[in-house]
Amino acid sequence: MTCIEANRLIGPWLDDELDVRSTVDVEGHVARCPACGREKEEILALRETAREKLPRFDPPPGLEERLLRSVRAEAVPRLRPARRWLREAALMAAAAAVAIVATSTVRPGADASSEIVDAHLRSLQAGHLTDVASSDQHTVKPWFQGRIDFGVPVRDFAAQGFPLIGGRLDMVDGRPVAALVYGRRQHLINVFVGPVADRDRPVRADSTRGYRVSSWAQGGLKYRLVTDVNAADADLLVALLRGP
Amino acid sequence: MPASTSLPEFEETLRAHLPAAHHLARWLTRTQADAEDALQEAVLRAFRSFDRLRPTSPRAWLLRLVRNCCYDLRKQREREGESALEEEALPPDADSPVLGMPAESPERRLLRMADARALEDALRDLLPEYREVFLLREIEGLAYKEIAEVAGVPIGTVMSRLSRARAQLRTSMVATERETA
Repeated sequence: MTCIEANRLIGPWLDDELDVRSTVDVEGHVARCPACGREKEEILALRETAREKLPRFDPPPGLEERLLRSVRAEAVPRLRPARRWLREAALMAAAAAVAIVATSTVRPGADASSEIVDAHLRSLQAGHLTDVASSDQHTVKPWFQGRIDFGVPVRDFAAQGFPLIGGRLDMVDGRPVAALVYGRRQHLINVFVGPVADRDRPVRADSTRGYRVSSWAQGGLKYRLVTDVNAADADLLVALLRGP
Repeated sequence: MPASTSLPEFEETLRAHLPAAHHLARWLTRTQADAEDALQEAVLRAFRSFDRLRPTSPRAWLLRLVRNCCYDLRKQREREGESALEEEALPPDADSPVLGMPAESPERRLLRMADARALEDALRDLLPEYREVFLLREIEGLAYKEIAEVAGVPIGTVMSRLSRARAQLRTSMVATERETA
C-alpha cells in the first residue's frame, strides 16, 4: 500500500468504517511509515480535543417543555366545527364589506379602519378572542405555521406591561390574517398582521368610533393595531412591536 | 393529522435526541434564538410527518430536519442582510469539566483554554457543510451512513468532506498556536 492510498483510508480506519481487509492493510502501513503515523496521531489528537474541550451546548432549561407544548397544541384538532362556522360567517361578512366598499364613495382610509374596528369588536364576542391561548410566544408563533402562508413575528411584552394573551386567525379585507391579542390592564389590544406590503410605511394613527387604529408596514407585512386603550399606551405597544 | 396515540412515542423520540439536535442547531446558526427557532420549526415538521414516515433511524431523521431548518434560517438571515460578522459570541463554557478542574496550574489551564478557543474559532471558520460533518462524526458519533442521511449527500461526499474538515481544522489550529507562541 502506498502513502497516497493509506492517507485516504486513515480517517475511515479511525472512524471504524473500513472492512477487515483494508483495516489490516492500513494498520500495517501506518506501523511502518512515520509520516502516515503522524497523520493518524493528528487525527486522534483533533478528536480528543474536540470531545474533551469543545463547549457542549446543552438545551437551556424549559426548551424541552416549550417544544413539547407546541407539539401538543399541534395535536389538538385544528378547527373545531363551531369555529369553522364562525370563520365562514366572518368570510361572508368580509366579502359583503368589500362589496360595499366597491360601490360606495366613502373615503377608503376611513372604511378600512372601520372594518378593522369591526374585526376587533367581533373578537371580543365570547369564545372568539383566541384560537390559541398562550402567553408563550414559542407556542403562539408555531401555531400559525401551516395555518397561514406567511411568517408571523410573535413576541410577548409582559415585562413592559403588555402581556401576550394569544392568537387567532381572522379575516380582514377578505383575506386571512393573523391576529395577536395583548392585554393592557383591563383592556384588550388586537394586532392584525397580514401580507403583503411592498415597502415599509410609517405609522399612521386615527380614531374610528372611539377606537384607535394604528397602521404601518414593516418587513413585508401590514400591521394594524386596534384598541380602546389611551393613545400613549397604544403608541407604546406600536413602538415595542416595531422594535428598535 | 397524527393520531393522538403517536404523541407519547414522538415525545419520547424528541426527549432522547433533543441534546444532539440542540447542539447541532447551535453550531449551525448564529444565535441561541435562531437555534431555538430552527428547532421549533424542525420539531413541528417532524411531528407532522412522524406517523407517515415512521423513521427507522429517528436520530438521523430528526437531525436532518433540524439541519435543513438551520440552513433555511441562515439563508433567510443572509437575505435580510446580516453579515457573518454578527455571529453571536459563544457563552463561556462554565460546565466544562476541563476548565472547571481546580487542581490545574494557571499556565496549563491557560494553554488548555487557548486550545479550546482555537478549535472553536477554526470550526466557525469552516463552511457549515464541513462543520456539520465533523461534529456529527466526532461529537455525536454518527456512522458515515447516518451522516449521509442527515446531510442528504452520498457516503463518498461525507468521506471527502470529513477529510477536508480535519485537514482545515488542523491547519488553522496549528497556525493559531504559532501566532500565540
